[in-house]
Amino acid sequence: MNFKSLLATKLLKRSYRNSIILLCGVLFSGCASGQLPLQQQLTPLPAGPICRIAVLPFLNDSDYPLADAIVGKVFAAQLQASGDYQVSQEGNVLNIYQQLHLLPGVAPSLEQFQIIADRVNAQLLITGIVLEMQEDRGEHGTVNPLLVEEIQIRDGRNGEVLWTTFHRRQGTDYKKTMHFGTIHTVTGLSRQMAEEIINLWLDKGLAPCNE
Amino acid sequence: MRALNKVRILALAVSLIWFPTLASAVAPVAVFPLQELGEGRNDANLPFTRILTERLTESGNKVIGLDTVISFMANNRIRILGRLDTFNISRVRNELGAAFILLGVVSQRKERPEPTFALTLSLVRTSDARTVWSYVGSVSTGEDRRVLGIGEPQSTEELQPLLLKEIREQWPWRIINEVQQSGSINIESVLVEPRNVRPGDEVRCRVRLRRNWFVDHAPRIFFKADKQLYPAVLSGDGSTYEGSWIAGEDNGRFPVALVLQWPLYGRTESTLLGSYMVDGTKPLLEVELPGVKMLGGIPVFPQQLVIAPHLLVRKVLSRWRLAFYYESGNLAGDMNGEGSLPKHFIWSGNGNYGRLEDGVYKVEVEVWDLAGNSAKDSKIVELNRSLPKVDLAVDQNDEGMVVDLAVPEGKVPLSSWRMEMWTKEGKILTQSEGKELPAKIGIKLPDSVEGKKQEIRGVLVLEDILGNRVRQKVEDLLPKLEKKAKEKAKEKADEKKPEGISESWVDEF
Repeated sequence: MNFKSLLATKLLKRSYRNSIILLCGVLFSGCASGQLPLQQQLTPLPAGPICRIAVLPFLNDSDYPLADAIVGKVFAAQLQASGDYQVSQEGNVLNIYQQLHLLPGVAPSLEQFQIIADRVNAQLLITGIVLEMQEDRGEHGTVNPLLVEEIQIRDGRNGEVLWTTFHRRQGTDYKKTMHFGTIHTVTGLSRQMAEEIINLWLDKGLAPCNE
Repeated sequence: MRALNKVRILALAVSLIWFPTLASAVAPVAVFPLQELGEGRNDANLPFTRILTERLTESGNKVIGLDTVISFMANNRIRILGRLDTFNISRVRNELGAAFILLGVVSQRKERPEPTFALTLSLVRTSDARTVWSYVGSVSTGEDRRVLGIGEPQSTEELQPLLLKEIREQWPWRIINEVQQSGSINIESVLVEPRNVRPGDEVRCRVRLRRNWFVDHAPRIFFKADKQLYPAVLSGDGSTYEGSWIAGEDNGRFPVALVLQWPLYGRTESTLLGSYMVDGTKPLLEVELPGVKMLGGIPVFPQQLVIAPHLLVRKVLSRWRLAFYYESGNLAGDMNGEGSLPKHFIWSGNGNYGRLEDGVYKVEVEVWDLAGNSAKDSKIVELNRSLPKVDLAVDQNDEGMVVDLAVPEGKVPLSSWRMEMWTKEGKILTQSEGKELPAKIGIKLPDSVEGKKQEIRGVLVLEDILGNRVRQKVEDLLPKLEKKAKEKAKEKADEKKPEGISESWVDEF
């Protein structure tokens, strides 16, 4: 399954995600043949050091149960570990979601993003969508996981998307010699992909927190 | 090089010996039940949480028991697993005394088609509610293939040790060791008084706390002394706790600790406040009067009396008192002081209202130790400032005259005397001295000059055994001698009259 065919499937399956996926298609079609993850910088990051980041609950557009929770928690953990950022406590974020009557699986509005960022005192917000997660059968009865995700960096001041990153991998992408290197779990794949996305961000100018 | 190796071996030995001590000093970690993403979002994986807790404890962490954490969650109505908000993180710090919270999610745990186990952990520092360490681990049988398939894990249960090993290897010891163990006891002021007591005395303790717990989860507070717990009563200001107890019979120093108990969590925290000393032994005091002269079995002093009090067993004193009493028992004078006794006092015979008369007095020294045990010792002394005095009698003999010296009755004996006599022209007639009286001194009278007897003058120097010294002039003794001669002649004349006949009687008759 290649990226373009996946997008086409998604367009047919999810009507309310059409606009997002279409955007992805537009954004990444020109470089789909390039290296993943694919990043688009819509607006520069806020000036000055960035330390306070909130990872908001991810959305799950896949058929894999709780894929949003797995990918979201793994991404938050990797973000904290990679740049030593002060990642807002998930409990605080979800309290605000409750207070704003935001149901699971529903994306906040720009105004709500702004409120959330203000309440948790975050400079940046991280949102994400799991577009696809599945566990295919691999060789010798093993599992070959697949994950397609899109992660956004939003400005805490207005909730607008600053950077967006698309990534797609499966476990066998990391195969080296024989079976070595292959990732067999969606959690392991999520970690690997989160690391790649964050490293890309760091390369592109997101500075680690020094506080 | 060999010396360096020795140092290394020694350092290793010391570190091994001290490892348990160091381990017990690390900041406590509260491990919350791991969330399991299985059928729903809020399942718990308690078995693996227990195993994780045990492994962390074995590796030297101070882990707050899972049962305590579950009680805490129940009491604070925390129903969601895998995350906490800042408010509850603060509660964990205050109520459980945790410096760190370990939260986690078992994101995958399934046996088919391939046994898989995966989890995410976050270590949250409670002081600033910041996640300071994260771990994402996953393992499956497909990833742990071994040569010829020997020893390959076959189930999620067999996969768990692989993750536990990895967690142990990545555990953030540096971050944990940087944090001092946080406690709920935040003392603003403390007072344990008195610091020195006698058995049976009351000891009071007052401590002002900066309260950092929630009112509905306030701990029970006690003072602990001599292995006993005494309840601390909250005063009106809402932050000062007071308590008192009676000191026991045993002598010694007893530490006082503040104990906070949260029975709900089975948690106890304590800190040392101070100590008090129980002392039931009296000071052993003895008063000496060095250098004083004994007269008739009683110490007598003329001008100054040296009073030297001694503690037979060395002890710290809180205060002392020196007092002088009349023979009647009334107070003549006193003085007080704090701290140690002076080496000696010098009494010049003054009382509270000035110079005291000669007489018998009681000198009393009383001391109090820090606990209030007192002791006193006294001496009876006589103040005698009177100057030496002798009775001088003159008599005539064949060669001249005899001077008779004697100490009047009741006077202090002399230690030495000296008498010199000379004529008006300065001719020395006698120079006599001695240590004891009475004494007779014969003086050859000078020849008359132009038919007139020469004047005899002199000086008498006396010193008694108390040290009183006097020098007195001896006036011309000849008039005395003539008067004496006349008296003698008259007595002689009287002796010639018949005995038994009284002139006065005859006249009257």
